[in-house]
Amino acid sequence: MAVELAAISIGARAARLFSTRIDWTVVATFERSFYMRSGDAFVCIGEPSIGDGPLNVIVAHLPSISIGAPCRIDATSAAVWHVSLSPSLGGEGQGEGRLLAPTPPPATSPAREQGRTSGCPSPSDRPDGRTSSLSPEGAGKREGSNLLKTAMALALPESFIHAIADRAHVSLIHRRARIGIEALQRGDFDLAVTTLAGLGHGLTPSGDDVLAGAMLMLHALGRNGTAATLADAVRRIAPARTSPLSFAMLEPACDGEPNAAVHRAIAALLTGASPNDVIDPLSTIGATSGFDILAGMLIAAAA
Amino acid sequence: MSVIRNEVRRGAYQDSVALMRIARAVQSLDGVEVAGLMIGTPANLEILREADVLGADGESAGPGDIVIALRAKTAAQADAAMAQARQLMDRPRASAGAGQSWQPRTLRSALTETPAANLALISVPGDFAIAEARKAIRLGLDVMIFSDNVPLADEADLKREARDLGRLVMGPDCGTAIIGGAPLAFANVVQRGDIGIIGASGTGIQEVSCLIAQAGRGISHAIGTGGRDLKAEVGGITTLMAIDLLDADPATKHIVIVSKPPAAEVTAKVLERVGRSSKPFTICFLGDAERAMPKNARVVRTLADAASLATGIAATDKAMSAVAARKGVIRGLFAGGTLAAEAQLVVLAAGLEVASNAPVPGSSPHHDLPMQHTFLDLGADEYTRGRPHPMIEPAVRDEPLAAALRDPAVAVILLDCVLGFGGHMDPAGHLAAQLSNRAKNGPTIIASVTGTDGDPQNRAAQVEKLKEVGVRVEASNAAAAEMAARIVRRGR
Repeated sequence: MAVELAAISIGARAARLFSTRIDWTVVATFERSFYMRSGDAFVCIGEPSIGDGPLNVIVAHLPSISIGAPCRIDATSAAVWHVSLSPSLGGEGQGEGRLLAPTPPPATSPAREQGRTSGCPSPSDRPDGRTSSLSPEGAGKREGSNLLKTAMALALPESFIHAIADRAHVSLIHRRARIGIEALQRGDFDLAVTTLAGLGHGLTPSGDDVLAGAMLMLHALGRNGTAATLADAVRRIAPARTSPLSFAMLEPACDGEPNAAVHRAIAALLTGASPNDVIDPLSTIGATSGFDILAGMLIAAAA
Repeated sequence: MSVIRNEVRRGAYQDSVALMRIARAVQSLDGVEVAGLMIGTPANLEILREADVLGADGESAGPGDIVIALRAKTAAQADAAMAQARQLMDRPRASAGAGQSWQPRTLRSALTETPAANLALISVPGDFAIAEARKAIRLGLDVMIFSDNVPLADEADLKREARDLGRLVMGPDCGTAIIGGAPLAFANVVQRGDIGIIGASGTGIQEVSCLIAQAGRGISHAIGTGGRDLKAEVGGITTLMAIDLLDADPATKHIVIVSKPPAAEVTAKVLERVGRSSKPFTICFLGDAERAMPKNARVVRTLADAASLATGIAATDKAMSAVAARKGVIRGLFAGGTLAAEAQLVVLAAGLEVASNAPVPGSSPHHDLPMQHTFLDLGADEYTRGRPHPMIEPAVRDEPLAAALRDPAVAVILLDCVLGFGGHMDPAGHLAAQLSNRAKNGPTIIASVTGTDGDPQNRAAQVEKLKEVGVRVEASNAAAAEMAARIVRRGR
């Protein structure tokens, strides 16, 4: 007998999947969530603390449920959640569509002083190769590079280092990660995806999360052409390199659709907020995924 | 030749923390050289292949599978490790409906979840401890830093900032505190009362608080300062703040300070502050009992004397005739560093020469010479490198104990047994097992048990286990050392 759950909110992608697929089975269970699969489609059912996302279904309380159990979701009363970082699609809201518009920086910020406005750069904005279009020059770049260092320090050790308990072999993982990251930085996306997809530990391997973070940041910066090129490489190469579940979680990022926590972090980064405002929401994502996503975001931002 | 074992779990998904824990648990098994649990993506299989832990079975894994890969010295060890990995993987897993709740991953999100929190206990690698402590004090929290390996200059900077913010920093390397009745880290269950303790020593706080509890009295707060607070570079910042706090606390009527002798200028500052209080103080600067004190303070030689003076209840003194004199040396084997120090001081005061790997003033460095009274702090670095502390894993003491039992020159073996939260669940039982089959004419075994009946291990039950195998259990560590000294002095 299938477990039936009533959804409080549901990501737009998940809602579309439920409208076309009927039989769902639990494939993984965790403290705050569980994953269901129907063919090549995956959704994540979780308690409110996991936050909204394109493939997330939020329920009031998680039942005790086992792998292999059938489960049905009643989304008739659920609010549909959707956000896109791509200017051609909608923004955050419950079933609405509007462009991402991060809150303006505080009055004391260099942005105001320099007479520049915050917000998502237009699609024609390109970084000049020396400064980041992430946020106002100087302050933004300093913040970005400090955050990059922090993220690299956090993300790589946190995620990759534990893949093999014998720490002597950590260097093997770091070496590969570095090859992939450097390829990402110089725009060799086929090599980046080949190296990073499926690399590392956990439900969504760290390399996948780095790629997701990079794609989402490129969309947020308005570098849609570059984002599309990377997404194309991900769609071509990643299915054979990573797990079906992780690839399913990558697809929304290919289209510039973050979950709520990443959206908050990107908004904080774009408006030059404190590192804590960037890191705190990301720290709620999985065990290390948030930090890996941050690494990808900052690689894209600093490139 | 090492043996590789792989197992593929098809279509399995587990999070990285779970897989990491399993890998570490398997890695710690006997004979296991490498253990890895990863999803079977091409990139991860390459990693496992390069780590020389992937066999033919593992090569068949796909991206939707989890590979358990290990390499061990022998086939039997590899099979045992794989069995353990399977067991851990197959543990029943249910989603959070079973009542588990989300764990925050940052201090700020933890404070958002628990806004009433006013203390952060930090136990991360030393490199990161100061950064986390700074975040905590800037968020308005007092801090206990269990971590060690923090640079002294960083400790001093942090404590100065904390003082300016009005926040207390206990530590680094603070293993014991009791705040508002809550035992923190390695601490014991003691009743609330009106005696406050300020300690630069974890086991020192434990010994004094437990003796106070055994005398029927209680503790208001026991504030750990960290082992280096009284060094010149730190200047006793936490000690001085702790005196202010206990002085202002209406529930505290008597204050005990326990530490090794502080730096001279720090001693002067501390005693000056003590002298300005209207409350009585008992001060135990281990190894320094001759110092002039302010009118409201008395200095004592041992932790047991500190408890006696604070409670006004003298410890009972067993008649010497109950134990026969022995010719030979004392071998002291200690889990608690402060207890090893106190025991040395007691034996030195009895006119005997002592050697130790952690010598106090008057003791000699330990060089494993025969016919020396030797006191070993088995929690020191040379014994715990790559191994748990003996308070957590009593097996660290097994080999030195066996050597002492075999040594014809050893007349008395002196042991401590420290109970409480964070420690081993049955240290006396472990000791009893090591001692139960010893030779009848072997050394006299004397022990003290630091703890209370309210501790998870139950002091009364632990004492009974030791007595059942013929161990003489004294009321305190100091009393045990004194007894050991008397036995061998009379035997000379």
